[in-house]
Amino acid sequence: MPEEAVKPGDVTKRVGVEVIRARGVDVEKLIKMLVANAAAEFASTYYYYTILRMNLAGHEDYKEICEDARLEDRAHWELIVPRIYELGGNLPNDLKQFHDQAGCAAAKLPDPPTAVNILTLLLESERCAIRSWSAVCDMTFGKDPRTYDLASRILNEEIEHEAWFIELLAHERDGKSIPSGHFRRGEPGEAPYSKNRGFYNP
Amino acid sequence: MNQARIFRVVLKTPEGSRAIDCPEDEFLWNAAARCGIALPAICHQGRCLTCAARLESGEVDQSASTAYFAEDRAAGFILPCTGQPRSDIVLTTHRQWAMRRHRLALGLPAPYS
Repeated sequence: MPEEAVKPGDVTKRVGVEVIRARGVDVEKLIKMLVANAAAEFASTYYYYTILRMNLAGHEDYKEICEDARLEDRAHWELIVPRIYELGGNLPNDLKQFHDQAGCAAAKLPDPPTAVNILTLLLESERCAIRSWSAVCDMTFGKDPRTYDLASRILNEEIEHEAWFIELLAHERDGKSIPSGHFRRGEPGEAPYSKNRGFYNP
Repeated sequence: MNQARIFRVVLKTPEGSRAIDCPEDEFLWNAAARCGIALPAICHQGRCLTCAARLESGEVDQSASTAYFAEDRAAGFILPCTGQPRSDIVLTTHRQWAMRRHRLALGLPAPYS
C-alpha cells in the first residue's frame, strides 16, 4: 500500500502513522491492542498487585518481588500510553470501560490468600502479559519500529517477572529449585528495560 | 482410578474441518495444539475473546474462564482456550470478531474492540 500523501501544514494526518500504515500495520487494530494491554498493566495487575503485596505477610522476600513486578507494570502503563495518543488513539473517559477492555484477567486476591495461591496468580498474570506483548511485537516487527521498541522493552520485563514467579512458586509449593537466573532489582521497580536504565551486568 | 472420558471434537476452521480427540480434563485449544492445529489465542484465561468459536453442537464447560457470561452461552459462543468438552462437539473456530460484536451489543466486556 502506498503512503497516503500528507499536505504541508495538514494537522489532521500524521506522517508517523501513514508510514507504518503503508508498511502494513492495521493502525486501528494496533491502537485497540495497546489500549487493552495498557488496561491490563494498570487495571488488571498494577492495581491488584497492590492488594496481593499487602497479603504476603511473613514472606518478605516474596513481597519485595511482588512490589518490583507491581511498579514495573505501572512503568509499562506509563511507557505505552503516550504511544496510544501518538498513533491517534485515546483512553476511554470512564475507568470501568477501560477496565473491561483489559486483555488479561484482574489479579484479584485469591481465596484463601495463601502464598501459593498468590504466587500462582502472579505467575499466570505475567504469562498473559507475555502473550499480549508478544502479539504486539508480532504485529509491529519490521513495520513500526517505535511501537516494537516499546513493546519489546516491556516484554523483556514480563519475561523476567515470569521467571521470578516460577522460581518462587516452585520453592514455596514444590520445594524445588528452579532459578530465575536473576537477583532482585537494585531499587523497587527499577524497570531497567522500560525506564532505559543500566541492566544488571557487573 | 477414574479415567478421564474422551470426546470427539470436530473443528471447522478456515482451512477445513479436522476431527480430534479431547479428554474431559483438557482445554479444547490445548487439544488442538497437541494435534498440530494452531488456533488463535492470546490470554489463555478465557477473557480476551481471541480464541472465540461458535458451538454448533454438544456441551462445553467454561467454568475455568475468567470472563464468560450466560449471554455468551445463549448466543452459542465458546472460548476454547479455557473450555473443556462434556460431550462430542462440533465448533466453528475464528469467531472472535463475531463474539466481540455480540458482547458490545449487550454492553458486556469486549477486549480489543
